[in-house]
Amino acid sequence: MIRLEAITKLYAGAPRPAVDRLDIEMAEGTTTALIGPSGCGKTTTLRMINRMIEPSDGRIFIDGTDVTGLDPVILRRRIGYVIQQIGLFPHQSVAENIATVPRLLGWPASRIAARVEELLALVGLDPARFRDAMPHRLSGGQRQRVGVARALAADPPVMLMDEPFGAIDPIAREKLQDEFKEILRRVSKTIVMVTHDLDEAMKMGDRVALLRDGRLVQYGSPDEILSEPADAFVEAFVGPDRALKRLSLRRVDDLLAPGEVIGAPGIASGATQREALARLIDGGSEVLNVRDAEGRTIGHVGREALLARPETRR
Amino acid sequence: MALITGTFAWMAANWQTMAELLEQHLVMSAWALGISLAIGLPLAVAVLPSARTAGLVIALVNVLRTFPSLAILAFALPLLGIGLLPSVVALVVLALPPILLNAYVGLREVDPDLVDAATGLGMTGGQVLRKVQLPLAAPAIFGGIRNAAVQIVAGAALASFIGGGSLGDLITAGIAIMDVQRLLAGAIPIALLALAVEFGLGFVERRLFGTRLEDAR
Repeated sequence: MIRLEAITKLYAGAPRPAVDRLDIEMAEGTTTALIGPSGCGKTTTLRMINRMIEPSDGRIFIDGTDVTGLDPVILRRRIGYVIQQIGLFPHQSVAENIATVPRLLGWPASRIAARVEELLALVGLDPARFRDAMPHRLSGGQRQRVGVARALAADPPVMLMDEPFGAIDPIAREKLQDEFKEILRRVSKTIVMVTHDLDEAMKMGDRVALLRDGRLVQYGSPDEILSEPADAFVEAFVGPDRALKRLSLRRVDDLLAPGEVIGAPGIASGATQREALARLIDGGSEVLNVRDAEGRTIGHVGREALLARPETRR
Repeated sequence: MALITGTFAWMAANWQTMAELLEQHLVMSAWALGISLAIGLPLAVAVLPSARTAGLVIALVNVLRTFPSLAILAFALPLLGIGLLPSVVALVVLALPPILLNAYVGLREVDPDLVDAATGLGMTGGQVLRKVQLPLAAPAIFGGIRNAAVQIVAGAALASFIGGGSLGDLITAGIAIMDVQRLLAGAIPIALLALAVEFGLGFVERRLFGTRLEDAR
């Protein structure tokens, strides 16, 4: 668990604090997305958690320990760190890059080697092919997989990710987001992620913290932020299509009605309600049959159900 | 042709003197290079955090370089007397700029995101330097060393003016007594030595960093 208490960063000569008495608590094993317009203090907040930036005031607790008094070097070895520019060391192989923190911690070579194999498999890179590869031979997506493996190497309870998909081309980004979400679910870490992309925040975050001028404007589940914006700023930030964005958070399976409607077009189980709505508009039909991975129809979803305003999930 | 054979005959007849002077030449060069490295590399690391200090120090060292080597030797004479010490000092002045400048630029050009990543993963400042900055700056640093070594080996000839002793002794003596064979017996080995250092270290450089340079392309 991470708790920030009245955390503040004031740069010399700045008219107002970059982060202004921010209180926020991030539950263990959840992903929190920090989002807001540029200059809102989201990256500063993130970088204060591992003391890459020293707070001017306030306290930070990780699992109950006040880390503002710890040796920053020791602290950082217990916090995974992933940055937008990825920052793989170009003179080191993939395996050496991943082994960075275990080596700093003095693990024996055999344990490091085993851990590297395990992590490469976890992030979906064949160890035999990638272990000895040099970073410049990899694609952007492969590099960030290695970046995440490197951050996870010493099994830190907390991971900080600063725009982790920022350097990935848009076509590969969505796929990587899906995969990372699955990886992060499996490793169950407390994750804090900075992003400027609302859709990314909604997709990756269990909770979304919206910041403006160094202050927390709203903190809640993606659905809460979209359905109950705290003020006009949040409403404008999430955009006029927030009702559609909410449909992106929901699966067709939530609206499943029993039985197959003969002649209606199909949609895969697990698809979002937004996709279903698009399919309906596209096909000019009233109903979609929902099919499982084997192509069997498991029920149907109708237009009425899709258009009904859903209850807010917290 | 007679001049060449004459020169070789002179060298063969005076091989003991030749060997002695060559040794002096190399010892002086080694000292000068060693001291230049001992000053230049730590200095490059020390000025790295502040661009302003770095600019100042580099400008200062470059001013030193604009003095002709002969003038530096002339300055060194009244201060340090004659012999090996003032000669080495003059050569250090010659070698320091390329070493310092290349090392500084090489270290500064290391991508700041890599330093950020290394720090964020929990490396100390010294570990970032040893594990990330120095290895990545190594090709630039080595280039500076090669440059400095060539200048030292060539410049060491001038040491004979202040009694430093080197293959330059043969040149000064050769000029003084109008003995062209003796003059060439000094000049030819110095030229060959400079070429050998240039190409020898160039070869080492390619062996060490060649694949990396290609890979980076």
